[in-house]
Amino acid sequence: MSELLEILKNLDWSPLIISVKTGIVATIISFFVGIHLAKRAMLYSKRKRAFVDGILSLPLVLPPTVAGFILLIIFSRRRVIGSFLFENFDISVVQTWLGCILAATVIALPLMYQNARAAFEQVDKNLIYAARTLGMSERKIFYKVVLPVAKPGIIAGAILCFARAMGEYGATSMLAGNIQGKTGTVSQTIAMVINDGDYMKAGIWVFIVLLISFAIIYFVNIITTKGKN
Amino acid sequence: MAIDVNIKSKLDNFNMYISFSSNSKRIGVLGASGAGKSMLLKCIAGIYTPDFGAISLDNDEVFSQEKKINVKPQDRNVAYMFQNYALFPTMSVRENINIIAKGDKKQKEDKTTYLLEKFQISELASKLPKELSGGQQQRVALARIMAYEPKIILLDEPFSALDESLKESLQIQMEAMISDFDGTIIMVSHNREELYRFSDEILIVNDGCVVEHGKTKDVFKSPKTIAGAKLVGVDNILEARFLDGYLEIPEWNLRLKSEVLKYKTIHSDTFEGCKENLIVKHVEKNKRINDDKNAGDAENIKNIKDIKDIKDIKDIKDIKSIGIRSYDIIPVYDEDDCVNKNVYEDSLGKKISDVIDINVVGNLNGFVEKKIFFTHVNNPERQYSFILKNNDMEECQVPNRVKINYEKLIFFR
Repeated sequence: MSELLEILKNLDWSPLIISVKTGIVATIISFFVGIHLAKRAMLYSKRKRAFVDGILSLPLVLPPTVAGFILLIIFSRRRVIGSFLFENFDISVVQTWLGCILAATVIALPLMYQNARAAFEQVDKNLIYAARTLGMSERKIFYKVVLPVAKPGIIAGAILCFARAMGEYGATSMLAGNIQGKTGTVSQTIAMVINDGDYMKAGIWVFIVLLISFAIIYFVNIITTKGKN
Repeated sequence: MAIDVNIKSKLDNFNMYISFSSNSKRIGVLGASGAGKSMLLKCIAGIYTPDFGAISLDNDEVFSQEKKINVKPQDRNVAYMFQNYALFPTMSVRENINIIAKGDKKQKEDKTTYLLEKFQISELASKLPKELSGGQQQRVALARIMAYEPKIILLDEPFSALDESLKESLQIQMEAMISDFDGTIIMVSHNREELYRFSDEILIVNDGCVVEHGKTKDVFKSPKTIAGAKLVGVDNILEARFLDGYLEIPEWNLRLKSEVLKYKTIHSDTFEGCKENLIVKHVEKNKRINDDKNAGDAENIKNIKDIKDIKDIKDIKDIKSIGIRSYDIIPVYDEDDCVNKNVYEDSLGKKISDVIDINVVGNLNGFVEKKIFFTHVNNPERQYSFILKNNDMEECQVPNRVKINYEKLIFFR
């Protein structure tokens, strides 16, 4: 027991801070971009929509390490885009916190997009038709009719998005690496300490993650059932 | 205001070809469920775009496939009341009306308050739609439509979602609420009583095509087609043929002397609707009907029967069927004189014939007014109907014959 307290007192909490920061930023980006894309997709023809759905769902289907590898190739300073960014804007992606965010966003955005799409699809079409025949502009219809009705689904999507972004491992590991204090996320930390044989520390981190995950699922359920009623 | 519709479209189960013009303020559209009536409303509102044709409202062309005109619903000034009312679920009654009302903030508020009072929903102002009953939702939906001040209101089966017991009172209420609306109202329903009460002019749609169009009372009195007749309540349609100076109705063993039949009115047809006639292949957007590939379709469309093509019956020999309403068939109860009457002699001078050898289906007891089915010995499979008007059947008499009045017969080619 005292050993446990000792470890907790001396624990480097930076992985948790980094994971949470990454999760928040990635979620904010995914939230706005995902909803915007889902809104546009509502007005596309069936074919175009299927195409956009396919592309945006790709990161969900690919193994995260593959996604990470692709990002590495694109953003490495030794490649075209990476060197362009570095030389002109002094932006470095590989092995930086920016890389963490990028990796997390690429994985989480499709999740937000799909949730938002589903939430919009479920809105009674007659509401939109009625609003149109009563003179409401498309913009007003989206913000005053569709969005409020889709709110529970979207919030649930955002929460899941946060969970996924916070827990990202494969792509993050590839692109940002596990630099303690800079890019070391909780998932990577757990992998690292197990590798070193420190099961106690790993156990602590796992417990923390379980706590947070459970809290997230709990809130998602509450919000979505409130919406249904 | 003038409404001019001339559209053709391929829908999932059938093809739609609707062509009519009207200046009336109260237009009814009658037809069985799924016959294309709602589609017509959606085309007029701009929610659905037909494959071919044109629509003009108040002399403004809002849709023309050829000229590539398709005005957005927001700009057509046509309000649509859905069967489920489509009230915005996250907004209160007041907000639902306020968001549609026109003008600046003060004007919107004033208008909203005025409408809340007019439709007697002021006490419900802060409630959400899900807290309201069907009848209350309907009033809110109407108030919201009035807030928009449209030129045309489309009612899609406004009473179908309501309890039977409420229907009549709500119909009367609705009449009062829209009585001062100056524009055109088009109501769609599968219930003929509602439309008989509501409309000045009526269109009857069957299988996607218009089979009757005219002043409501005229159409109900003298439908021109069998499909139309069935929908206005002429439940009994039988084959008839002219032979040796008599009009024979073989199903009932009746022969009617032609002099007795004064059929001045009739120009009727077996036209059933569009099902077989129209083959419109689904046309991709922006393809014009004059393209070579679609030339065949254009031909088919020209060949569709239109009710304007229906001709008068000039000669008794043209009659192929007769129809008679259940209300006009009268059951005969006394059993004494129903044996072996010579029906042919009886029909001289008297415009009534007895149809004998019938069998009533089912139990007759316990109703004030009920549709009773009967068969004839000639064909036990075929059922006809009369209306049992009062419950004076203490001794459980069952009629074995019915009377028909020639004046009530409707003739079809």
